[in-house]
Amino acid sequence: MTATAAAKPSPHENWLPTLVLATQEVFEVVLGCKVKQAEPSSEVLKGGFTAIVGLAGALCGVVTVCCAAVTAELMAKGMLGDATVSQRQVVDALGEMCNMIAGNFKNKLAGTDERSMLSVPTVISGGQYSLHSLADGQSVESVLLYEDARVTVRLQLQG
Amino acid sequence: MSTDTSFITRSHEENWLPVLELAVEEVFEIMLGCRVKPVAQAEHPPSSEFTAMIGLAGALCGVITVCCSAKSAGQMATKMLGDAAASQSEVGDALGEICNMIAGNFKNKLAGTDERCMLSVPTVISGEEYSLHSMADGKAVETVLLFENAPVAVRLELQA
Repeated sequence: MTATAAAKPSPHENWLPTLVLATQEVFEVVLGCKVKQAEPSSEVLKGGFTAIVGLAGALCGVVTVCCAAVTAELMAKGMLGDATVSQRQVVDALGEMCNMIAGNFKNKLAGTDERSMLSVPTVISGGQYSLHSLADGQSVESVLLYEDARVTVRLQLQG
Repeated sequence: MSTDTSFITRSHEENWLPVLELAVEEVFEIMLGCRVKPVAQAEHPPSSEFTAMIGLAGALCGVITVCCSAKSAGQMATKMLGDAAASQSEVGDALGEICNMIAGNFKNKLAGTDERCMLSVPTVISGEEYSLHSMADGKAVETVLLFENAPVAVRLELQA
């Protein structure tokens, strides 16, 4: 993956283009598909899968990847090249996608890379849950279309 | 062997449970004004209506989670914020802050680790039907304690 944006941690930084680029590169390299940003929608996904990776250090916050169960399953099949996948494989695949997106995003921030570190991915699945981050700073979000299904990638930073 | 490598080697062998239990007890005493002690999980299965989680990154990499019922989370919020703590958001904030303080206190007890281990931001999950899967593939320790006679589970999962 090519290093492009040169950003330093700043409360005023617009992180969205870097996050979108990091996400698109991971989808292209890992799943072999070009993903585009989707049109804004008021549709709210209930339940499904959410992967979370924490950022600590110079940049402190969380990166989350959220999608429907069927979309997470498609990603796992695409990554593993199998026709059928287990629930555990789906969880691992989405967690790994989130980990790679966060890592690629971090690597694009010149000078921040060594001072920011990632925690371990955690994946939440279920029919009814809600997520509340205590990050009180900037929050950016991008919705991408993967196999015509919406995948939401969000960065929430500590102020 | 570098300091970091020796620490990581140590982290695979260390028994983290007593340190985690002490960190939890201190936070409950200071923040909520109550003494808590570990109990047998089999006799007090914890609810997971609320889960607060925070990532550890650096020399020690993993996640700490605090699980409890909605009622327990509400009681913690009331003790921390007073009777005004009524909204779901305030309850989440209170539980997230407890998780953050437990993780910070735990980290501070690890001599030599503090500066090389950092915390991310707490996230709180609530709901009636969800499950949590950590990709940490190393050691995991868990303690269950009684807060206002209801079980609260605190878990540390580390990357190998």
